[in-house]
Amino acid sequence: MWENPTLEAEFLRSLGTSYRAIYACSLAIVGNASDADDIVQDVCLILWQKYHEFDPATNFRKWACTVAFQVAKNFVRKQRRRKSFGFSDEVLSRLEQVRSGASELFELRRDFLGGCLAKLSAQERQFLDQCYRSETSLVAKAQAQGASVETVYSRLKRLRRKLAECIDKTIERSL
Amino acid sequence: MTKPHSPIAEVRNLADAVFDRQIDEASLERLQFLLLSDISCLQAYLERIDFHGELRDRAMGASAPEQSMRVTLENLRIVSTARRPLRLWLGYSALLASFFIILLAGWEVLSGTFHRPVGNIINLSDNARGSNVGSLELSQVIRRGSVVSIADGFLSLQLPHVLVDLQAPTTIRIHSQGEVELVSGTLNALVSKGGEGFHVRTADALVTDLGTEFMVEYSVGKGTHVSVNRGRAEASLLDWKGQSTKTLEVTAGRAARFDKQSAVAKETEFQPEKFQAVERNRGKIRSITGDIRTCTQPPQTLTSDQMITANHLLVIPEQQSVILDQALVVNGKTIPAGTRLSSYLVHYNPTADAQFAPRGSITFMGRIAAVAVESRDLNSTDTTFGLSQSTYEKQDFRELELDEDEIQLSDDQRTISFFFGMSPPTFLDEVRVFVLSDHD
Repeated sequence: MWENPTLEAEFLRSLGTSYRAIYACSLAIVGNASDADDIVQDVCLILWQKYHEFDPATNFRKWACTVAFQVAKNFVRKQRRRKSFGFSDEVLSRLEQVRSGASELFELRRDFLGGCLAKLSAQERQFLDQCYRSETSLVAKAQAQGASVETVYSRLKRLRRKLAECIDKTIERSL
Repeated sequence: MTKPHSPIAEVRNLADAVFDRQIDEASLERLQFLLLSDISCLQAYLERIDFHGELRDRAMGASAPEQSMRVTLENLRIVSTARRPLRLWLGYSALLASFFIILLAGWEVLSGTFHRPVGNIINLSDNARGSNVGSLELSQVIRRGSVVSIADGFLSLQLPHVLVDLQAPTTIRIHSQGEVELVSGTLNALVSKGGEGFHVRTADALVTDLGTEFMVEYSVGKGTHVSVNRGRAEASLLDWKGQSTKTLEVTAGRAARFDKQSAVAKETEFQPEKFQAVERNRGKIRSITGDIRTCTQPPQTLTSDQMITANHLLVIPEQQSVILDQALVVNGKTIPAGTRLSSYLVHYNPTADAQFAPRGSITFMGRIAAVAVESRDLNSTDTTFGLSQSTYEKQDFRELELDEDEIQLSDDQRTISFFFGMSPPTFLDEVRVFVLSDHD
C-alpha cells in the first residue's frame, strides 16, 4: 500500500481521526490500558491489510471500531482460556452493543471530565497524572517508591470518587 | 472492607479493579452477575472504563495518541517493506515459512535462548515516557527480541560491553546482545573493550563497530546517517534483500549518509553538536538506580520551588572536563590545581504533599573527587561548574540537613547513594558531585 501515496495519505487521515475511538472500543472490552495498547496495534495492522476492502462511501470509524471490538473480544477469549476466568461471550457482546450505541454519551462525559479536572488543585492533578502516566501497576509503583500501597490507593480512590460525583452533578444540571 | 451502598457504586469499584488489574476471579464473577442483571450497571461499567481511558490520555499528554499512532504506522511500514518482495511467493511460502517458524521456535525454546535477558535500562530522564509498545522502568531487564520505544525524553541501555543511548522519539528492536535494529529515531552506541563488532541495522544500512562511539539516525524518507565520535565504524548500504552493496569506513569526526531508495552511500558533514546533546543528557554517568532521573533540557532556574521534583532526585550534568587553574577546597578536601573535573548537581525540591522520601544511587565512569554538601561550597562553585543558562539558589537552605539527609560513597569512589528527607518550610536540597575526568 505504501507504494500508493494517495491511498496512504487517505488511510493515515482516516486512521488519525479514528484513533481515539479505536482505543476507546478496545479499552471497553479488555478493561485495562496495557492490553488495549496491544489491541490497537493489531487493529491498525488489520485495517491496513484490509483497507482495499473498505468502501469509502461508508464510515471508516464504524468499520474500525467493529474490527477493534472483534480483535479485543478474541483477546479476552484467549486470556479466559489461559487464566480460566474472564468475561463470558454474553457479557462481551453486551459491552459491545452498549458501547456502540452510546458513544455520544461517552463523548459528553469526557467533555465534562475536562471541566471537573480543572477544579482540582495543582497537587491533586499532579498526583492523578503520576498514577495514570505509569505503565506499571499502581501497586508496583507504590512498592518501588517505598510507600504504602494503601495510602496511595485510598488517595486515588478519593480523587476518582470526587471526579465521578462532579461529572454526575454536571450532567444533572445540564438536563 | 465495607460494601458499597448501591450496585452502581459496586460496579464502579469493580471497574476500577479491572482497570488497575487488581480483579480476582470471585470479584469478576460478581461483576459479570451485575453486568448481566441490569443495563444501568453495564452503562456504569463502560462509563467508568471510559473515564479511566480519558484520565490516562490526559496524563500522557495531548500528543500521546499521535505519538502512539506514529509508532504504529512505523511498524506498519516495516511490515509493508518486509513483505513486498515476497508478494508473489506468498501462497507457497506461507506454509513453508510456518513449518520453519515452528521448528525455529521449538529450537529457541529448547535451547533457552528465546527472550533471554541481554541488558537493562540504566538511565532515564525525568520526562522519559514509553510509547505504547511497552513500558519503561529504571533497571528493567531487556530481553532478546523485545522492542524498546521512547516517545519523550532520554534513556540508556546497558548491553554487554555496549552502552546504548536513545533520544526520543526512537524505537529499537533488540535482536541479540550484539545486534540492535533501529526502527526509527536516534541511537548512540558507546562500545567498550570486548564489545567490538556490535551491529546497528536500519532499513538502509548495517553499521558495525570497530571499537568506537558512534551515532545512527534513521527515519523513513530521510535515510540513515552515521556519525563517529571516537574510533571507527564500518557502514554498509543494504539492498532490498538486506545484502550490502557499498561499504564505507567512517572514522572519528566523520559522518556518512545511506539511502536504499536512491542507492546513496556518501560522506557528509560531521556535526559534533549531536554528541553534545548526549553529553548534556548523560555526561559521564555510567548508571543510575532508584528514584533518580537525569534531565534532557538544562533547567533555567534552580531556585527554591521553581524546579519541583515531586518524588525523585534530579541529576544535572554541569560543566564537563574543567581543568582547575587553582586548588579547589570542597568539604575540607583539597583538589590540586591542574586536575580535570566534571560536575553534576543533584537537585531535590519536593512540595509539601510529597508522598515519598526518594533514595537512589549514581555510578560514574570516573572516580568521585569530592562532594559539596554545604551552601558555602555549593555557592562558591556555581560560577565555575554551574550551567551558564541556569540560575542557582544562594540561600543556606539549599544545603543538606545532616540529621535527615544521607549520602554514602562506595569503596571504589565511583558510586554515590542518596537518601534525602523532607523538612518544611523549605524543601530544597542540593549536592554537587565532582568527578575526575582523567578517563577522557
